[in-house]
Amino acid sequence: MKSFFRSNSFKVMLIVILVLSCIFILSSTTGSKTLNNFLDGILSPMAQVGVTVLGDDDISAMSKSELEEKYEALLEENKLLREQVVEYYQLEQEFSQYIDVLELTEKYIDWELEAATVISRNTSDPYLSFTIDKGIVDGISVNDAVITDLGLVGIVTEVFTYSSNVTTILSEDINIGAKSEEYQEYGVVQTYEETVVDGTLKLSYLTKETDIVKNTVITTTGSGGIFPEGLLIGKVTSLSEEEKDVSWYAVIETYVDIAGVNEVFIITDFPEKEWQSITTSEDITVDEDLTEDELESSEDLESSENVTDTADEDEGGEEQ
Amino acid sequence: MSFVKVNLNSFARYTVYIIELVVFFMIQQIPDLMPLVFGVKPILIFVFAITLALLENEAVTLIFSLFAGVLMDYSLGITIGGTAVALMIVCCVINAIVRRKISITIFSSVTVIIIGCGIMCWYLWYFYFVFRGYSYTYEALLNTYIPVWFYTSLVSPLIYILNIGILHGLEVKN
Repeated sequence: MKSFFRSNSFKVMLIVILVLSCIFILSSTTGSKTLNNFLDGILSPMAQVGVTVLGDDDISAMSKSELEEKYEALLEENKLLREQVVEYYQLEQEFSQYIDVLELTEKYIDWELEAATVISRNTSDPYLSFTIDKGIVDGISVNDAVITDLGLVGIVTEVFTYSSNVTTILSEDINIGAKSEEYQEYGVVQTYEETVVDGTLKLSYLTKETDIVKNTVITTTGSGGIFPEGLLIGKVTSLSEEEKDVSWYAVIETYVDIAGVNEVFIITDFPEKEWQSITTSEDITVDEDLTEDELESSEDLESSENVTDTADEDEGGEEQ
Repeated sequence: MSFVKVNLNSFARYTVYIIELVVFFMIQQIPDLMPLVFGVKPILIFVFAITLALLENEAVTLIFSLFAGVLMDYSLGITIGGTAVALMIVCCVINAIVRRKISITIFSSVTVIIIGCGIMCWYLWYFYFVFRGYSYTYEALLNTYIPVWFYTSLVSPLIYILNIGILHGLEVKN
């Protein structure tokens, strides 16, 4: 063992570790991404090729039995799609009735979307962050919302030249101002202990008298300027009482299967977009000794569009 | 001529290692390329680096563990250097111990790889989850990091045997 410590290899190792540590500390303190961008330039195109190759079904290479199987599967899918078309027309009719009630406008047309493919998944992140194949050159910037046709997925937290890192809504770093359009109740969607286990989230700060029931649709409020208003987050699966205070929370199952998402859209711009940093958990503090009366009085939240901002103001008020 | 053959063999072996590292990295990163077990994928490049620490000399261990660590940092979306230094230290310690203290058998090698991967998984959990101030640390450990370690351990004998094959096939004979 002593010979190892005297060897040249050990000295080289020490020097390399020292240099690497210096780079690491320098990058951490200055926020420099030179090395990341360098690796991004090499590895992103390779990952894109991998994803493209995987995405194509080579029919000519299939055996007869495989083709038969595929044919059967397509028939089944066709049947399902026809049923969905019928359902779609029914829903369209329903929607046209609701549109007048909710005064929904054609605001979504103003969104600027960029389609992207997931090229890499973080294997060891409990909150399922991933990398997409669009970066600075495609007009992506930090805090852009990431969605699919089913609903909200997350936000862009790091942008490189040809790729970007996406933090999902399952992460503790993201709290979302959310509401039930149906019952006009507001809360904050955030992580809880079951998120890591089954991918569900919770809608916090509901009162005991909440009208929210199972299958209630939860959407974004648009507060904070990160997410546009009305983005689908998920549906309520159950309601429970908080252990630490008298408020209630709803467990939400996200519409998007975040672990399996492969194609996403990035909202690069929308009319209400404001360049604000993401609301962190530190931004929201709720008094743990909040009484039920105080909670009821917090129905002001319902009239306020910005739940997270309200929490900020409360915090500020307490400080004063 | 034998000198040329020696260098050619070494060159071929290191080239194969580089290709192997890139392929393993792609396999572990590209979605849907590897089946999920308990919702996670193994970290193949850790096994690769530790396997080289068991089979190769200090210099090769140093260089490839550094590359593997840098790739891991890049894939985690964090500042380059942290995991690279940790993996380098783990690999060099394993290399030093194995070359001087333990006789290499399949059983001892796989045991060392599993322990090494365990240390690296613990490192990721502690420094990139607990240290960041996240709340549900034990849930994350039980539902993500331990399954990752388990799955990584499961595939480690295959990578070890593959690298033994490469080493024997392209060995420099004195």
